[in-house]
Formats: sequence, structure tokens, C-alpha cells
Amino acid sequence: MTEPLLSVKNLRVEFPGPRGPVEVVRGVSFDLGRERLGIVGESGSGKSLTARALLRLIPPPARVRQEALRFDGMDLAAMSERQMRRVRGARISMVMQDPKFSLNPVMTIGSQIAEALRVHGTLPRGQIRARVIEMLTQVRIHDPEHVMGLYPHEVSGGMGQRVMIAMMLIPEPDILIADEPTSALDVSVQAQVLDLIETMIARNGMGLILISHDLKLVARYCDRVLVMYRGEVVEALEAGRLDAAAHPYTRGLLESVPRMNETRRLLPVLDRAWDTEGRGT
Amino acid sequence: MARLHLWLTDDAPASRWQAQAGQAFRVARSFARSPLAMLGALIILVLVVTALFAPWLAPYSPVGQNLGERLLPPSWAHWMGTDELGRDILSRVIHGTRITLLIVVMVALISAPIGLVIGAVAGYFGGWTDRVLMAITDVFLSLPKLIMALAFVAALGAGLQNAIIAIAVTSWPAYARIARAETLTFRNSEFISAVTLQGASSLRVISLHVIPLCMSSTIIRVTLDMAGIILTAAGLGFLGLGAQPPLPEWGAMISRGRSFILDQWWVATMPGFAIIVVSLGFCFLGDGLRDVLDPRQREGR
Amino acid sequence: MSAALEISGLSVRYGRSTVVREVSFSVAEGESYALVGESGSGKSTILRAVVGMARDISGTIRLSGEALEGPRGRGFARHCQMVFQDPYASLHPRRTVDAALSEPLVIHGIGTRADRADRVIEMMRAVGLDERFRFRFPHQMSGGQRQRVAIARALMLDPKLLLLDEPTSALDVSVQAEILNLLVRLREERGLTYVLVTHALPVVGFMCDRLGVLRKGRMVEEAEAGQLREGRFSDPYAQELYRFSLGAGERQGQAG
Repeated sequence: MTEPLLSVKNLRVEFPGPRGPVEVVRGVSFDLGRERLGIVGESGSGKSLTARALLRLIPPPARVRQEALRFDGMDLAAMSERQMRRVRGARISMVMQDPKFSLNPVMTIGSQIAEALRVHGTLPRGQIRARVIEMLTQVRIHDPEHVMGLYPHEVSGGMGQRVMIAMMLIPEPDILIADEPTSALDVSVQAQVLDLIETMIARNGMGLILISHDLKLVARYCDRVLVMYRGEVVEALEAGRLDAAAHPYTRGLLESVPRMNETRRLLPVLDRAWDTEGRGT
Repeated sequence: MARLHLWLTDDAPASRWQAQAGQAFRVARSFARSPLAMLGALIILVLVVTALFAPWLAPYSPVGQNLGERLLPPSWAHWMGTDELGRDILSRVIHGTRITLLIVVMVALISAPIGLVIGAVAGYFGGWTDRVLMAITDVFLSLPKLIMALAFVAALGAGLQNAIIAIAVTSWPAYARIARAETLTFRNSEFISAVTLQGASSLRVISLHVIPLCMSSTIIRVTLDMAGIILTAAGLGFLGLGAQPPLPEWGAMISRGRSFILDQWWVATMPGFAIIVVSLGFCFLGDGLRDVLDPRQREGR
Repeated sequence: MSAALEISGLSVRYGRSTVVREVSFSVAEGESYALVGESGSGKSTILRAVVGMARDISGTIRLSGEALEGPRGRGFARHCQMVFQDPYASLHPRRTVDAALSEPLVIHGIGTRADRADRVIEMMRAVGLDERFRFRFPHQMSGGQRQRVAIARALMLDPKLLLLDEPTSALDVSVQAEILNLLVRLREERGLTYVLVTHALPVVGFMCDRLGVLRKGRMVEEAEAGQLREGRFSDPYAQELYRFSLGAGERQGQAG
């Protein structure tokens, strides 16, 4: 069998706490090919930390350990910081939650995308502008020449997120990690942004890791779903078969969301009886 | 010990008092992790202990003259040598800690609350109140500290008390600025709105909600300013406008030693050394406090 | 009997831009009413206008028949309270639960020290907070626990009308269910009137009787909860909002 694009084995992240180290990611393993993988979990489940650990973006005092962290035949865990920088952005890139915080407020959108090109690419100067315009058109920005001259605060959240996606995709990475890419956006814009990510991934034949707290949304846009709770993957599911979920936590997540045609008087509350270590809410 | 530790780090404190103790413990523990901060704290602790026990620690009287032993270099009998009137410099430096501490504490007690209140009021009310209060603050802020202090002392007359008042008057604007900036960051936050909606008066909001949150940044700034205060006090002493002889004020001691600087270097150097050590101590302590108390670094866990 | 809250012709301006334009609606005693819209629709601004936090307003706001004008006094505080969106920002970072909950009683001079302690414990129980949380600081609690504290604080003065500004949008889904259940139960037990501001239509279907859809500061449609459950809106924007708000699974279910 050929080696998967990305392979993670027994990933662990721990932080020093007042009463000894606290493990926040506790032995996560998965393989990713050129496919769409969803990671679902609530705050504190370790889903975002897992993503950051893949890019080695977790600073001390946290400690990251793993049995294996391999990407395209390379051992990410053994790489120097310098080699890592050539992987980040260029080969694995990441879209964060809020475009407001991930775009530089004092640079125009055009120059920020161009910057991304210059850092990673070898494109001659003259072609950069054309490429930026092409990229903005691809993320369905209708008036790219105008948008290039705008500053991040002058565009809406949905537009900002599309700019982020353009920026992350311009070096043509192999894997895109999207960490709650739409939770800061209005519902009408969410679908647009996710549809965009979907088409771009399909067009470039990339791998996608979509991280979200919304199980149904992830299932809609991914092939496989990992459900995380308290730092562990409690269940791995085919996206089309959510109703086959066996773990009580996954079932609870599905049940506790109010539906549009809600008739229940009270919502079923997640029963944490199976969770022997206990965690209050 | 183990039980005390558990009690302090308990996630479910059983009383107000345990909650507060736990909070203090968390701050103290992260403070203890920084070696420079601990060094600063140690220096200040030594300063305080020395000031408290000065008469017992000093080998000689700080004012007792002995013209037979004028300008002796450092020796086993006089570790820091003697000055032009034959007084033991070590004893004078030790007694000088009391004056230094008095100045520093008094200035902090006078200027910090004034600055805190003015800044919090200006930041909370905004509008005209803010503009007027900040204009006054800026006027004070734009004048050089030592010159202002000189003018005040010249008007009030030389002496330790007036030096303290003069320095306090020139120090508060910095705290007002900080408190105002801090207030603006949470002026419109929901927890302030929530308490206003419960019918709390402005007085209550400012004194119980706004000022406590400005406290830590002010404490940090005051500690960092201590060095400057000591130097200003020494400057006034040096110019003969601060503490009057025969009080063993460090600045005044340097001033007297100036005449012998070439042949009897220790007369001016020893008190100068004391000023540097104590100033450094306050700087280290302030930096350490900033690392622990700064709310921007302490949010979350 | 007059309406618990009656708003007519309300406009709110921030500087030169008008955020709310000529909005009118009324909420009956004991009713649960939702203001729905996307960011920038002015839904939260309406709540701010009610509690007197928006300055430049025109139109009238009546609370149980009485017109509200000028700064809101202590009487208003006992009649109407608000729960904010972000439980991380709505609690003072240096005050314990006990301090936060006793404060409204202290302000209004209610009870002795011992009485107040009793009422704090009683209210903590009512919102499902264990007594051992009483002396915790906000940073020692989860988002759901903080929101329970915020709800408890709003109820300390026994208000009749509770304004809820996106009370669950900052919370995890499983915690959201708990808080929504709590709000439903508290309304039944205490006969409260709710005005809920939210962008999530399913939440409205779960806990409200009626809703108003806002777009760019105008109210484009008012509807009964029944209409919402079946998606019977007449305004095109309201229909669009409904379509987008259907969960992905439900959208497929409808198609298939």
C-alpha cells in the first residue's frame, strides 16, 4: 500500500498545570490522503490544538509528543524550524476562524496576497499582479482590481474569509486546514464560503481538514468525520452515516441541537455518565 | 505543606477568604518563577529590614562626629570609610534607608490614588470631563519632573516634607494616563453594562469595578517609577533642596562627597552605590510584577 | 392589560448612520418574542435602546404602559434585566460568583448579609449551579457555568422582563441545550416575559412564541412560531434566511 499523504500516530499535547502537567490531546491517530476529513468537537476537545500540532505551531511550555508525524515521505517531527517554514503555507496551509485577526490591518489585501506569493513562489515580478487577480477571481470576488486596493477593515467578514482562502491557496498547498472557517460569519455567507472551499479543494486535488463544532455541517462537506472529546477521538464515522453513530457523545451532540421544526418541550441534554473522569458544564 | 497546597489550589473554594488566598497564591507562584523578580524582591526586603532595624544594624551613630577620624578609607573598622566630619559612612547609608523608604512610600501613597481616581473618572465618563481632566494632566506631564520639583521646593521651602510633596505632585499624571487608558479598554464591556443595568451609581461602578481593574497596572508603574523617585529625591538632596543636614540622605551625601571625589572617592561612591542597588531592585520587582499582574497575560488560565 | 414591552416607530442612530429605522412591535405579558437577523440588522441595538444604552433615539418605548425616557433608574432595574451574549465578557474578572450575585441586592439595599447569602444560594440552585461554585472566579468556570451565573445575576432582583442578547451563541452545542432548557424552565416557573435576540432560527422555534425578522434596521416580517416551523414566510428575505438556517441534514431531507 502506498503511504498516505499525512500520517499522525499517537499525538499528545500537554500543558503544565498547577497540579502537574495536563494532557489536552491524548493519543490522536489518523491518516489523510487527498480527501476531506472533518474533526468535530466542543471547546476544550483538543481539535484546534491537534491541527496546530500538525504544523508544529504549539509554543512551549506546552509539550508535543508523537510516535509518528509524517507528511509526503518526510518526518515533520524531526524537521528543523527552517525546514518547517518551507512546509507551512507552501505545502500545508491553514485558514483560521476570524479573518479580522488573521489579516494584517495596515496592508492592503492585494499586497498581502502578493506577499504570500513572494515568500513561497519563484514567480517573476510582472506576473504576480496577474496571479493575484486570477486568484481573487477564483474565490468569486467580482471586482478583484478594486478589492486589491482595500484594507481588511473595509471588507465584510465573508469577503475577508474569501481573501484568506485565496491567500492560503495561492502557493498551491497539498493540504488545507480550515479551523472553524465560518463560525464568525452570518448564516447566508457560511454556505458560500464552505462551497468555495469545497470547489477549490476538488479542483486542486488537495487534502482538507475541516475543524468545527458543528457535526452536521462537517458531515455535509467531508468524507470522513472524527469526533473528539477531551483530547481523544471517541468515534470515526463515514460522513454519510451519522445516524449510525454509536458513541453516546456523538449521539448526544446530534440530539441536543434544536431543529427548525422543533416540537420537543425540552432538549435532551448530553448524558455524561459514560465519561467516568467527569467534566461539569 | 501538601495539604496547604491543595487548599490553595482548590478549584472550589469554600469561602471568600479561601478564594482570595488561592488567587494570591497563584500570583505569588508565577512571580517566584522569575529569578530577576525574586532578586528585586530580595533587595527591597533587605531595604525594608535595614530601615526597620537601622539603629541596631549600624555600627556607629549616623551623626556622631569624630574629627580625629576624618576621611578614612574603607577598613575593617569602617567598611565604607568615613566622611569629612569623621562619621561612619556605612552607618549613614544604613540610616539613609529610612529616609529613602519614607520618600518612596509617601510619594506612592499620595500620587498613586490621585492619578488612579482622576484617570478612572476621566476614562469612565468620557466627553468633557475627560477632556478637561486630561488637559490638566498633560500640562503637568509636559513639564520635566526635576524642574517642576525644583520650582515647588523653591516655592515651599527646602526640606524633606516639601521634597515629598513636590515629587508626588509631579508623579501623579503618569498614573492618571495609565488608569484612563486601562479604563477605556473595558469601559464599554458587558460586565460594566451589567452592573450599570442593576442600578449601580457611577460612584459605585468606578470605585468597586473600574478602579480595582486599573490597580495592577498602576502598581506595576509605581514600582517601576520608584527608581525615578529615588533619583529625583537624591537630585533634590544633591542640590541642597531635599533633606537637610545632618540627615543622612543619600543624595545629600553624594553632594558633600563631591568635593573629595578625586582623593577620597568612597565618600560619594558609597551612597551612590546604595542608590543604584535600590533603584535596580525596584526595577526588577516592577518587571516581575508586570509579568504576573498584567491582565493581558493573565486572561483565561 | 397593557403590553409588557411596546415599541413604536423606534429609530436609533450611531453618529451619522441609522442602525434601526422605524421599528414597531409589542410583546405581551408572559410572551417570548424573538428578534431575528444577521449582523448589522440592528437587532441588538433595539435591546440597547430599551435599556438606555443607545443615546440618539426617536420613537417611544413603553414598559408595561409607562413610557421610558432619560436614564433608566433603579425601578427599571427591578423590572427589566438583560443577559449578554458573551459569558466571558459579562462577568467581572476579579469578582467571585458570590460577589456578582450579591451586588444587585446590595445596590438596592435588600436584606441583611445573611439574607443575601441565602438568596444567592437559592438562586444558584434555581439556575442549576452547585453551591461549591459560590466562591469561584470566572476563570475557574466553563462557558456554560458562566452563563448560568449571568442568568442568575439578571434574576436576583426578580424582574418581569428579561432581555436575552444571543445568550447561547458563544457556547458549545451540548451546553447550549442546557442553557436553552434552563431558560424555558425559568420562564415557566417565574412567569417571565422574554425578548430574545438571535441569528439562529432553530433556537427561536424552540423557545419563542413569535418573532420579528430584521434586515438592515427595518423589520421586514413578523410571524408566529408555527409559521417558522413550517417555513411559511411571505417576505423574500425571511424566506432566504430560513433556507440558509436549515441544518445541512434537514436541507438534504427536504430535497429528498
